[in-house]
Amino acid sequence: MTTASSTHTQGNATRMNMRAVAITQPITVTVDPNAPWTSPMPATVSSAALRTTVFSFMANFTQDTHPGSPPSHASASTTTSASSRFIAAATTTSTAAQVAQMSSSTRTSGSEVTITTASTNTSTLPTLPRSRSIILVGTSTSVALPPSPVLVPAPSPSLRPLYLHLPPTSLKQPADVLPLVPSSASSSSSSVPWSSPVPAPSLTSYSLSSPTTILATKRKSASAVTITDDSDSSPPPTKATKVSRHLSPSSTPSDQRRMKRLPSEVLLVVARFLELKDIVECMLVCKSWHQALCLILWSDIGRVQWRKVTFPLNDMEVDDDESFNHRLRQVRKLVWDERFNVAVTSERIAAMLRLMPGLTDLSLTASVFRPPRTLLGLLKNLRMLNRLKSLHLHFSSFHGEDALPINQVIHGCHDLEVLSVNGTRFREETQEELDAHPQPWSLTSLSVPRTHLSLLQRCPELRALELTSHPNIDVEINLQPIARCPRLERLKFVGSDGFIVSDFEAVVPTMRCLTSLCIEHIHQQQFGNLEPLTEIANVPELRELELGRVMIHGEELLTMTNQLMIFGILRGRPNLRKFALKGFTIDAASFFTMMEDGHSVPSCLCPQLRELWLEIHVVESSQNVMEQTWELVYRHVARIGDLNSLTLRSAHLNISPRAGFNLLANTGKLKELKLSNPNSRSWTAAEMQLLMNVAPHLKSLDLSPAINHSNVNGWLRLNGKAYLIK
Amino acid sequence: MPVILVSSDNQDFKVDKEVAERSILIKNMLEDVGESDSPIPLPNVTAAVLTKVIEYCEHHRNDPVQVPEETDDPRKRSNDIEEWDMKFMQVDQEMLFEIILAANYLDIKPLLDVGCKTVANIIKGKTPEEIRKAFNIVNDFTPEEEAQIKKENEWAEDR
Repeated sequence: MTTASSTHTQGNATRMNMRAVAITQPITVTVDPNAPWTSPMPATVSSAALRTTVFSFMANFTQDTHPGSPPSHASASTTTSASSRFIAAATTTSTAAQVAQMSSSTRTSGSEVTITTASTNTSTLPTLPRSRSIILVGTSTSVALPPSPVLVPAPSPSLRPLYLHLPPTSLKQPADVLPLVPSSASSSSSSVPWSSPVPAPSLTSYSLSSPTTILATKRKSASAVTITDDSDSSPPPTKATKVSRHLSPSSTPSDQRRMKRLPSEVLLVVARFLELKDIVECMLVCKSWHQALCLILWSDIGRVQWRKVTFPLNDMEVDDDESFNHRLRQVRKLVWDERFNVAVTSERIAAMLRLMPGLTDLSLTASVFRPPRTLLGLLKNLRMLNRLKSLHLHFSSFHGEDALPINQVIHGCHDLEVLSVNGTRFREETQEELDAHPQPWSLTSLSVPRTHLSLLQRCPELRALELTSHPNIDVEINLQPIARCPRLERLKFVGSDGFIVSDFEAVVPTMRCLTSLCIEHIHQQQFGNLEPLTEIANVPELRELELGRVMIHGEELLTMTNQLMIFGILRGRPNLRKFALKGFTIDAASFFTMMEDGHSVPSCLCPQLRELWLEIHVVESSQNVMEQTWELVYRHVARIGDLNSLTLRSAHLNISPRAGFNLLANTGKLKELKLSNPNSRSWTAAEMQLLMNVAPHLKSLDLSPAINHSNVNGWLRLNGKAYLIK
Repeated sequence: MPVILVSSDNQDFKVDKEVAERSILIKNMLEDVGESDSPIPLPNVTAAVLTKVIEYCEHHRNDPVQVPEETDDPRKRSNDIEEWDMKFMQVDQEMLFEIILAANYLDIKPLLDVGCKTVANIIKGKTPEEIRKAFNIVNDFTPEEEAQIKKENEWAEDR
């Protein structure tokens, strides 16, 4: 692997071939022709680290064509000069300094960029465009060469997740999956030594090279039609004629060739929107589809599969079948829950895991007591799964004496990013165990019983933390360890027992990055203790706030004090994007009157809210007064111009125009609406019509627990909105 | 400030920055490069396709930026395409594929999703033969291979 080093060379004999770019100083990139075409990124480089960096710089390489300068010689092989010089220019960057900066930022992020190439002898390539583009994509470490005369922006690494959990190695040969790329590369540049070994890349590199190459081939095939097909003497088809051909039932061979190219990468994205039965049908279409979709069919095993009686993994006898084992190696994600299928034991799962080395996501749930040995065997196998990125282990068991330390469980899973463990089968490590393996984990997301907070000292990179309750233990937790995770963005407390926020106040100043805070299950009486929550106003980046009870038994009205506290929080956080108060009702009249009173600022509940969840209590009185109260509510909500998602629950829900429901039309961007009346009621067609008028862009509508669901569905279908209801 | 995009066939497109930044690729580029009025060449996108893509971005310029949440969505629904998007996608297949590829390249996830949903809707409920017809694909399986695949996938059939 060579590092692309860039240095300024001014007045170089070589000449820039600039089209759209204003370039000043050229830079030289030194490359080693002997280096391999692909080299995996060092394992230490996490893609997250790359994401923020501009990871590619675009170089416009021109061969030396200056009349006065010696031509650069090269044969078609890659073994000529030890270093060839090219001139690189950044795309829209106007100075080489910026290019240098870009490439140096690449280096500082801990990665190396590999460029390998052979130099071209221009004299042998008269038909080639004079400039070629080279894209250096750090994450995929591949070099793509679209035959394009201009500079090519490289795709951002963030594209990769679109393509499921398929590591590059899962595609045997690029040619198998995308037959088009190699063939067109050779057709458009038959004598170019550049094109030789197409790296076995991640899909990302396809995505960037394929569009051009497809176009190139299309043009070629189009012209082939005019040459060979005597009856078709028209000039090369324009867009319009192509269209008509698609529509005509009889298609020419070239059409068939072209249309076959629904690229496999697109097919994989399309498959995400298909049901299993459609995927199975698609596999019978042709070989390339079959191959691509096999990955889909076998990459993700979960509830659906376990429920099928004939699913091979449910059959004990398949274990020795070699062709079946091949399928297991394609498994990327496995979700197993004892409740799905009791016939498949955890022993069996443990055995199967041995055959799934490519697993990246694993979720195991066992709800009943199991002999410890089984569990130990299973967890030992986890060590072999060194590609795991996400691990969920939920073993509830009441035998805690032989609990495993968590670090032993995830030992060897160096890439693990998401960990969620639950149950008494796990314990924190002792100081000795910690000293034996002191290296920090790469975890970015962690969910543990909140008695395990000391684990946080292992996770300096943590972005998301969920603290669950621990079944048998009722301890006051010390939140101090949270301060060890300065990058924490999301924090969530969930629990069946009470939540005590004694030292919340102390931790708040360390939460410089926190954007989302969720506290579920607060007892009403504890709201008094939640005084420290007013500190939330001091979390600088907080955008999402969710407070509530997990198990909701009827309504519970917030006390006036707590209502004031909530009001204070909202006042202090005008830039909140999401606010939810679940399981507690607020008294609409008093709460929204507070908003009205004595504030010089135009009163509005956090004007930037995107998502709002409120449960509203309206004091029973005359219809007139109640309507006025609702009018107050709707007026305030309607001031939130960007609101996308709204949930209103109330036993006295009133959506009549007299109560001001139409005011909501001012929000204009509502995509999700949940209107819930716990006392359940029916919805009339007129009300439905009103709903649709108020929120014409709805994508999701939830009216549960309305009695006449079928009526509502019927109305929606009749009006072409069948998809709305959840 | 407007941004100039240049298609593969060298046509210039002047679009608002806000519109151009619907493409994460362009957005990242602009962020990295800073203030600059140099045109941005998009050699993988033809003018015809770029026109469509820009039309989409114009229409959705005010949409909230999607938070990339890959949470365990249930099987995503392909029928929740907005009316405007549905009409927008009423193009011939070649254009459809090219829009998808361009959306992928430019990293415009909502457009990629809409495109793929549209393709998914073409596929849904069809037999393999009907799918081949719809996409002009030649069956390259032998009857034996076909039988083998059917057998392997028996479990996935509805029952």
